[in-house]
Amino acid sequence: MPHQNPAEDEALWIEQAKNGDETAFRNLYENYVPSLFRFMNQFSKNIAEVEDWVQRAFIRAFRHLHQFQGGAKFSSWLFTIAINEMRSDRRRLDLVISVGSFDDNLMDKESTVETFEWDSTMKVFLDQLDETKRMVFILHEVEGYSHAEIATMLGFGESTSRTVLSRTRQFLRKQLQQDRRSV
Amino acid sequence: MIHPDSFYSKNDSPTPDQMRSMWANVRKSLRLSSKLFFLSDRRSFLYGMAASFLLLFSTVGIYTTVRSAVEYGQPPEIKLDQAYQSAIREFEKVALQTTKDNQAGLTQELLLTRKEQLQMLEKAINELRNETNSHDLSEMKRSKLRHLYSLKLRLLQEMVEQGEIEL
Repeated sequence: MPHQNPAEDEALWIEQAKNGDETAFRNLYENYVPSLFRFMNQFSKNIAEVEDWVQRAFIRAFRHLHQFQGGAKFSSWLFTIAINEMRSDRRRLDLVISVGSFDDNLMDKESTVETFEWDSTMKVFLDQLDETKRMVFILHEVEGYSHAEIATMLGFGESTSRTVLSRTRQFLRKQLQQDRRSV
Repeated sequence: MIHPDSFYSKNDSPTPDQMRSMWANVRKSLRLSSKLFFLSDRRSFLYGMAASFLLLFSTVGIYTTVRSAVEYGQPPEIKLDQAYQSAIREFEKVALQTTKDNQAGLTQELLLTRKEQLQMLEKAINELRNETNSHDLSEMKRSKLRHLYSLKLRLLQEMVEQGEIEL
């Protein structure tokens, strides 16, 4: 019988999956494949490529499940694996996306507490940004990960994550204003 | 925070067919790896068994070789002592038997003399052997022990030659 608390279900499935229970693997897969797929789908127009990243992420996660520490969120661990799979493919194609150099001192203090209002038109502008900026934005604004989690997932500092998010928000706002003015 | 439904479009999510297809690939890959793991595990087991047998044979071989080497590699003094002891033991087996059988035909006095001589020799040999372990290569003690063995053998030989012991 499923628990009232989804976290309890997840912990139970992970324990069962560690013991080789295929049903538990299936439960974890079905629980996380929609969110992982739609996230990864933002970084490629090629659906076969997205499917490949997602499959590889699950295979890798299940094979190394014994390494998963209960303290972390399974979803952030899975997303990290998927991002690394994608980056590994990108590296092979010599399309390394750099974070870009941001001077943390230039960051406006208010920007850390700024309110941001999403408009669906912004998605077009978001697609104009590089992969890392889009990743930080989606992971924080849509998937709800903290800057500390994003920093771990993407392998840079927490302050960089904040800076990237702030710049991305500013960019999207600016683009939206210009778009509205032109209309 | 943006609600996922207002950010992602319906097309961003996987279709049920895509989910099934991806799961089939994940499952296949995991099963294949578990089979490979089993195969490698079984191979390891067989290698382990083979290694155990080799180790056993090697150990037996080493033990046999070492034993032979120790036996054959012993100093001549020890080999000589062992040869004396062995010869005397074999001789005594026969002597004791025949002495009993021929007791009636021999004079009591002669038997006592021989018996006393044998007892004295036996006592001296035992004392010296107790003082000298097999690793003690003191030449003086070895020489004395060889002399006593020699006397004992000679005495037994005389008894055989005199008909006191019949073979």
